Amino acid sequence: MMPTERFERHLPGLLEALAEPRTPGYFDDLMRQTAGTSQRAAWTIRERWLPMLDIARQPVLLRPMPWRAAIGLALMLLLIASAVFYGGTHRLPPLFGPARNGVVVHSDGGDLYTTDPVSHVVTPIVTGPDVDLDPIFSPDGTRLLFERKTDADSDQGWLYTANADGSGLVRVSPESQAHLAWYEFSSDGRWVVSTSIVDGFPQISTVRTDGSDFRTLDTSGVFPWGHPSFRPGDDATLLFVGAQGVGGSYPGLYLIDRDGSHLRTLLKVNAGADNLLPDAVWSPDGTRIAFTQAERNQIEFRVHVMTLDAGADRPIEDRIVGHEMGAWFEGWPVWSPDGTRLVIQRDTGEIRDRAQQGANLEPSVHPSTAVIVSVDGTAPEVPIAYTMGPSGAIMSWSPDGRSVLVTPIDDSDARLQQLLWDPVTGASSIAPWAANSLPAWQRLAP
Amino acid sequence: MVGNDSRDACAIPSERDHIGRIEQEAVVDQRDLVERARRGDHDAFAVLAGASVARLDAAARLILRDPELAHDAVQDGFIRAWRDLPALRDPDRFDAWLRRLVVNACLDIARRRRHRAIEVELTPIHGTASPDLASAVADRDQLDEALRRLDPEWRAIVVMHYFLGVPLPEVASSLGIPLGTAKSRLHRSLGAMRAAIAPDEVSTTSSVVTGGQFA
Repeated sequence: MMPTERFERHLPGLLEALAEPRTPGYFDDLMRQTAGTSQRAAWTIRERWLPMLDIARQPVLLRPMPWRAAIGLALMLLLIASAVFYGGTHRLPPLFGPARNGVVVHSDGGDLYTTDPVSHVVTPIVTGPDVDLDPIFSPDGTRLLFERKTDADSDQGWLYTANADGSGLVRVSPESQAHLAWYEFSSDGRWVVSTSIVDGFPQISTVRTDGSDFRTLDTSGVFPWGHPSFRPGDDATLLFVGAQGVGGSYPGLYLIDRDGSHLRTLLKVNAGADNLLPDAVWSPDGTRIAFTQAERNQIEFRVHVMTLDAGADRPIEDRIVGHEMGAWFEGWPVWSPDGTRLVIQRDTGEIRDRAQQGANLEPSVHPSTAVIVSVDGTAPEVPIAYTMGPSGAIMSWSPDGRSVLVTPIDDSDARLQQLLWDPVTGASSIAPWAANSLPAWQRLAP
Repeated sequence: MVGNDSRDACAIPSERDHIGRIEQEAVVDQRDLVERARRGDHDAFAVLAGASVARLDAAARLILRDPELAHDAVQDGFIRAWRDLPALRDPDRFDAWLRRLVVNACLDIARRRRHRAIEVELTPIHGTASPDLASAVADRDQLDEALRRLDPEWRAIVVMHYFLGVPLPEVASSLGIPLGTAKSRLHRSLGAMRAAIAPDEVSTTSSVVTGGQFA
């Protein structure tokens, strides 16, 4: 008999004898600890959120450039404009500010579709036996990025890009990635960043959209907890919420270069507390970051807007935005395309003192609402006439800033029919197309 | 009249019925317990935790090779399980989910302590050559040392598969690695452990680990 087989056959018993399983003496203390720990509301837990991003891709803020290059660029643009005029080439959306609404892309039954939000015409664009999920557009509206699996229940997936009409598929993942949790284009559409599990830990990976130069970034023991995103106008810099613990403990805001170098800390919160949500997002122009942080009592959450020193990537201001007295939870900010407003989620339940159980505070959990707030506080906020369940919703502005496209999530973590919110009136309506995919809207030139 | 006095002939059937009911109740409806725990019933969570803590504590000690660190990992995993239980999408996956939390907590601790991969030495720990492999391995210290020489992540694969009885595809999924990688690491771990414990018993013919006996 092969020694291999004998050793394997004996190994379970040997491990059993070595480990001697028994209820540990600390079990009662452990139960006292858990009893004194508050359960978190479902929507504050990362795993409730499929990690798709806000698809109102924000345009690039051009940096100053040398005169010669500027002239050369102008000439090139003139040539391109001529080609567009005479050749009918598709014009690209502006690099900054609102854009014209294109189609909405979504997945259903493992295939990808686009829907014209005006005509409601639905067009299948990627079909087949594979399971294709959660497509998003590039900032210029010309390419798609999505996950492909061979089995819907598999944790392994590959990232693919395609033209907006579904043609020209290119696989960008060199091999399957486990638990793909996030992906997005750079603002120039040439790079993709993703988060997946590598060797048991979340990791950030970058790759060119042609599939070359794939690399997993070494974040020096800081686990990505939330979605990394390219800085608009500076596609060599990534922002991410990181944590020292795999589950999100000891979190902070970090920047890292696309090649994995130069990790720097923007914000470090108190150790031992999960008091940053994985929702940090760049403003459209890349000068500010909106994120959600817990207050000192580690129960109440507030939306913060951090302004960075342009030259040094150093925070020069950090203030709370959109707070309403009595609200214990405000979070999950999403920037409007012009950078003047945020849509946030808010819960105005009470904070109860669990003094009898050990002085831990816990909020009363109510269905939450959404509200449009102005970043500078000068405009009145607009409450949305829709009550979300405990799991909240994924929200995304339309490119023209006149709507917010929403995918609610129910208690069983299932996605519901998409909605459209009016950020001026607060009205909520069912989107006139059948989709419960995560919101993704194409940007077009005006 | 049915009573509790076992001398009462009429009480015997009722007592049996009572015992039967207890047994039926004792056959824990885990899904119900998970649902209750999700809604904040800590007593329900304590029942669930009590049913699994022994093996998970043992697994953590096997992975981390340090009872204090194992204590920390189990503590972290269980506290997180209670706190984040509302996020569990499928109550039937509670055991696998809790197991994953504890194993990941072990790897988290191991990584922070920078117990990185130790190149496996094929030098035998003890030079005893015995035709009876079981006898050779009967020395717990040998197995202990053989495990200690593995990288914690490789050790986790061995412990999850052979101690916790997790099928290899689920081990791979829990650790976020491709199945082929899990198979490869398991194979190499076993080879390294065999070589370290009883080198004379190591076959020169490589064998591919298939699904394992729990596949």
